[in-house]
Amino acid sequence: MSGLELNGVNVWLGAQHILKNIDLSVAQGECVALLGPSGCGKTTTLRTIAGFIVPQEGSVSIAGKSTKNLPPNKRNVGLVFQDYALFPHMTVSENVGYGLRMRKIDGTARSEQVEQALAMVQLLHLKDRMPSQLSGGQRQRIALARALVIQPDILLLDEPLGALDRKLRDQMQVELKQLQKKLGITTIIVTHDQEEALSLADRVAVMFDGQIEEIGKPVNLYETPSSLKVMEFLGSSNILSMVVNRHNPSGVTLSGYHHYSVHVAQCTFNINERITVAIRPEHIQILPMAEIASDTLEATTIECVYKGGLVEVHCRLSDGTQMKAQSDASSVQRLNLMQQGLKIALRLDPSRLQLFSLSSKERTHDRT
Amino acid sequence: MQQSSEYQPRRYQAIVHSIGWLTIVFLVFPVLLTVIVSFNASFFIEFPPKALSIDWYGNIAKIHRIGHATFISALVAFASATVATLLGICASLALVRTELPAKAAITAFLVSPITIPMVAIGIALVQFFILIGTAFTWYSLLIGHILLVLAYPIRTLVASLTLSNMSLEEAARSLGATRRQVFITITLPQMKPGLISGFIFSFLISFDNYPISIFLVRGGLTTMPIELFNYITQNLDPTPAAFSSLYIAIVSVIIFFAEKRWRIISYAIH
Repeated sequence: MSGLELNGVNVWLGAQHILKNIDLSVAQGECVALLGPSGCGKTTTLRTIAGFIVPQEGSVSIAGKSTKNLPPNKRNVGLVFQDYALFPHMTVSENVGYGLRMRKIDGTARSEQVEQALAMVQLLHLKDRMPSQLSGGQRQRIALARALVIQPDILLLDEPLGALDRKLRDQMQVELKQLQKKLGITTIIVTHDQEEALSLADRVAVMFDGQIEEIGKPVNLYETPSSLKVMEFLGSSNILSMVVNRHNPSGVTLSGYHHYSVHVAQCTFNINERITVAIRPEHIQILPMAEIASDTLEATTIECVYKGGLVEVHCRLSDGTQMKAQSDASSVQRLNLMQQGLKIALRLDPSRLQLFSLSSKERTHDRT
Repeated sequence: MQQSSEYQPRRYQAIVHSIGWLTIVFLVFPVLLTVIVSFNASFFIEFPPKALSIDWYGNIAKIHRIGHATFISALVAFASATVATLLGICASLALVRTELPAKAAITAFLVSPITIPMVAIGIALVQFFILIGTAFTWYSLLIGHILLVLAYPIRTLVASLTLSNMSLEEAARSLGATRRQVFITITLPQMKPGLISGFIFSFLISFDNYPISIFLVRGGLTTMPIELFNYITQNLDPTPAAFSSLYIAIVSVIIFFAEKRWRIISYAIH
């Protein structure tokens, strides 16, 4: 059974085309994150699933049932808002019990289920408090308990951890993931936080401008995205322009930047075609200038940015292209990278190079 | 606004504080004076009083038709506050929760009676009521007072609805509540502070209104402020001061408890 099915969903708000032909199929029990910059339509998608927006075209079905003409209160969805939306005039148990009350579940049945839900998020001891007496993390869990106690067919989370501080967010991420897996509930998370999307979801859908650009497992999306747009959006990346030089039995050689050439095993482009090559900073090795060779790029250091466990080394190629590489504190010391204007050699890991056609590069330029 | 106070030099603070305190003194002094005068033993209003007495409180009943007039005032105040609050609920829901065009203009129009001189409203109303043949009836008085107080519940209800996040209502919907259930269990409780403060302010504004009422009453139809003013024009003794002190005491108690329970002043100022 499918947990959620969106078919050709189109939404216009006024004259604006907010969602453009959204197709999304989520398996029962799967957790999918909608990731994208603000205004990309991810929240509109969530609100469409919840029933607050009726799409002008297309259909939404939840747990195999069509939602046509179903108002939000008949959809059996559990919704957690970014601001949690706890009812301020009700106690914690009244908040959690609200959905049950609306379902005419009364008396001991209700209080038992409320207590179970509160125990699940480990906040049973706060059941008589008012929401204003709770911390951010506690509110978030109460909101989750309130959404889950009605045993929804689908759980919708809108920027669930956005309002929490860093440490609490990491902790809640783990808890949320465990809970989602334990309950086996189909879940949609809307977020602009890549880390949240990549760590929580089974699959991530990257959205731009009302469309799903690409959907896939976090590791595939990050390591081998099918478009440059997604490559650039997720994490940081270096963009280089190269030419397909010659085919060998074992692949092709790419060249550019003076004497630099690199051999890659897989390439679908034609000889002499100019292509865009992208690589993550963590896949670039920094070497002393003495080790410069035909498979390394000569660069000049600009700045070292200390990021805790890692150091981000900013440098510039001879043609002015800016590059970012990652290093660790000891290498920075050893190679004296703190010094500005130092000549270094960069070795790009050939197996990590992502090749894109030039037209996709142009497309990304249109966006900015 | 919160930021600017941080950058404010201290010397300005001293000036602002003294202006603030002077304003409070200016507002409170006449009230205190009224109370002091009401305990004055002398027949004439004098300050400071030479001897104290509570005789003037016993004299309140001598004000012509004061019991009847106070009853009418209370009735009109209660009815106009109730109707204005109900209208205010409808108006504020439309103004805050819907995509209404020209919201600012509509709001300005609805609260405009407080910006127009009351005498002008009174004259306009009496002419209008004479024209349609309903002048000097209890219901034309009531309509006049509804117009007078409508702005207060609209302002307080718009404030409390604006403060209450839409996501609360959406959360309730997603938890299975119908629109009606959402309104009763979520929206209305969220509007409660604005509802109560709007009602209390409406009641008080209507209860002691003179300039509009004077145009709308005749004969047996009379209100408390009118009879009190009639008494003052014909007598010089401090009986009205005694009545006013009693009134001030009752209103202070009502506002004190309402503020403690529902923080009504904070909502009226918003």
